[in-house]
Amino acid sequence: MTDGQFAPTVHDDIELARKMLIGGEWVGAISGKTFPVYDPADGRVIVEVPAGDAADVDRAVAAARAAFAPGGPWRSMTPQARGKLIWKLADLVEQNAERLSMLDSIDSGKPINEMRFFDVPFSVDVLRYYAGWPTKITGDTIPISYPAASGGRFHAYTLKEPVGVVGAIVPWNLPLLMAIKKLAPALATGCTVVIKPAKQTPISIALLAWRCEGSFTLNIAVIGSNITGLKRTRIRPPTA
Amino acid sequence: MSAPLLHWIDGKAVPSAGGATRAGTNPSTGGPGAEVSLGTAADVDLAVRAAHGAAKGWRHTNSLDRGRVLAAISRRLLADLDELAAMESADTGKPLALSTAEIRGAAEYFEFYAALVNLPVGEVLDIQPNLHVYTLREPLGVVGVITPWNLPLNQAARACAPALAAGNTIVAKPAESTSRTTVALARIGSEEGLPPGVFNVVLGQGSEVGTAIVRHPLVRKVAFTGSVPVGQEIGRIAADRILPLTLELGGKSANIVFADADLEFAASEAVRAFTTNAGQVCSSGTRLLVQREIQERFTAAVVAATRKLRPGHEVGPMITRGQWETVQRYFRIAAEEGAVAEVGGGVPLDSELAAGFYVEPTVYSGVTNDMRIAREEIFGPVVVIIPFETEDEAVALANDSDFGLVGGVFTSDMSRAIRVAESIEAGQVYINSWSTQSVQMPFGGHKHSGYGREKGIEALNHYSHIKSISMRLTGR
Repeated sequence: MTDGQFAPTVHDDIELARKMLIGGEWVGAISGKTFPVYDPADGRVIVEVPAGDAADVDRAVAAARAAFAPGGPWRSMTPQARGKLIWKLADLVEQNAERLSMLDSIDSGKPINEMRFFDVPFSVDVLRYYAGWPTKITGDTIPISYPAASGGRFHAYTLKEPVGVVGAIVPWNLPLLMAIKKLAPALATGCTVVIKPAKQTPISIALLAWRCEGSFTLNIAVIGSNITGLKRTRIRPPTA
Repeated sequence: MSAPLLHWIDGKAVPSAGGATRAGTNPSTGGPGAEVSLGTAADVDLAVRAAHGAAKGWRHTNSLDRGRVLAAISRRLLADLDELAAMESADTGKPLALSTAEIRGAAEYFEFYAALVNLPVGEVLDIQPNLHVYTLREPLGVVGVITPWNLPLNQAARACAPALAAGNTIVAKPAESTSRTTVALARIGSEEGLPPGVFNVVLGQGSEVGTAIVRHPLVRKVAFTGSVPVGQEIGRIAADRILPLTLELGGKSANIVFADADLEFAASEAVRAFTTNAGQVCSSGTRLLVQREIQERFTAAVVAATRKLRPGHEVGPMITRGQWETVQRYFRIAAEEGAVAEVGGGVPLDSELAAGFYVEPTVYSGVTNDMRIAREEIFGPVVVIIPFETEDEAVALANDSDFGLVGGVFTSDMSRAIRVAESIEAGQVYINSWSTQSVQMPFGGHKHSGYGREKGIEALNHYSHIKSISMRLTGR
């Protein structure tokens, strides 16, 4: 990255992308490798980011799975509390609208007004919408007929349970919005998340993760890199 | 005539405690009709107690077993279709084809609700990890079903099928002039497996039997289809009892025809809308709002189509002498108000029809929306044509009514069709058709047309109430 390429505050935000957020810690790739993110407007390198591989995915998934453990703070949280967190995330995106707009504009090349007037406000709407859902996710009670016990009375019901660790693989065309569209419903239902942003556009997610971390602990493991191994190996749960 | 029709109470035919009967009248000939028992509060009490006694057993019958009985009733209604249709036509005077269609509809109600008995009845709510919280839909208990004479079996089935599916027991009171098919339904129900007391019928007059049902302390819900004044009277009693009601009352429904509509089809639908069942339908299209530039042409088409409908053939008689006189009173009111009868406006001169309660299908022009014939439900084959200039004016005219049951829109502009349909204050709106409805579609009114909904899955919500249960799993 060339000195003086960006204003100092933007420069600081970009610097966040040099690390991934996994299990509440900012870390580089285990291999120590990095790769460059280019500015599509002039071809210059914006920043070098960690080049994660399967080992980093294992680490992130293990962190997300640990955060999903029964009895842990995330699983014990009431739906109301989960909704409030997602609402707070919406506030954070709104408060950081200009910074997030600048970052997605820099690494995706899209005009900043597209971010200001579509991607960011839409992201806020998505978060606020899903913030209302945790208290409304219901199962059914069902009047069953059980032939082997005719005349018996039963209490039969269904539960909608979170699936567990969700992998969110995001493209480069609407970097922030596409990530939030996956993040918000996954959090609303009580899942934990591993995000892999596109290799072309990882910077805004790093800022989002940093702002979350600075305000409260969301159990999100963000892996901000190009995982070259991903195409060949499946994301698998960590070995115990 | 044969022996009088008896009540159906606790699985068997029962005469009135007081022994009174009523001689019927055949509306097509003015001659004698079916003689029915006239019940009193004592008969209602017997029936309600039977229904109350059967409530617990029926409620806790396996849901699929309840559904099987309803499905068997549906099949029997179709197997006995000819007999039931003949009975209905004799009592009401309506053409046999119409009775047949209505009884097929009654069978559909039982078929539809038979398959809904296993619908999830409540939700499991996530409050916090150590609580198991859920809701249940429970039957209300004894439901009173009070039905009118215009579609006797069909309307009884419309209320009874969802009420039974939801696990309630029933005391039904059909109109005294058209009681036979409702008693037949109760008998069929018993023969097909409804336990005694689940479905009871008490015959007689609304003022006596209907009132006793609404007042009875063991009755937990009343579904009433009929006139606004009787609905209001039931509502007053219900207010004292805090009794939930479904009221399906009258209508003065607007059918709006824009200049860009398929006018030939619109005219035929507009005529069907006010002449079906000789106009004795709550959902009749009795105010025809026509865009002024096509008023003359469209009126001519409606008049021509109306002239083809012959009383005694395509159009049956009024149900009773009283209803026949009511329609004729509105003919006089129309004349006094200065309306112009483009066709009809009197009774047919045909001597073969002289003894029956027939009136001519009638189209009035020269009508404004403030006239009585544009505001009051006549309940005969009578339509008023009112011109309008703009879409906004059409909507305003349609909504300038005490009623809000049905609306119609004929136009080739689909954006306008949806705009207007969503602007009409009514429970249902038909676009480029009239009364294209089915058992799946909820039905009911706004304003004086009533409240609550019949038909569809929605009806089950009006025959049950919800209970929330919260259970602690861990901790103290």
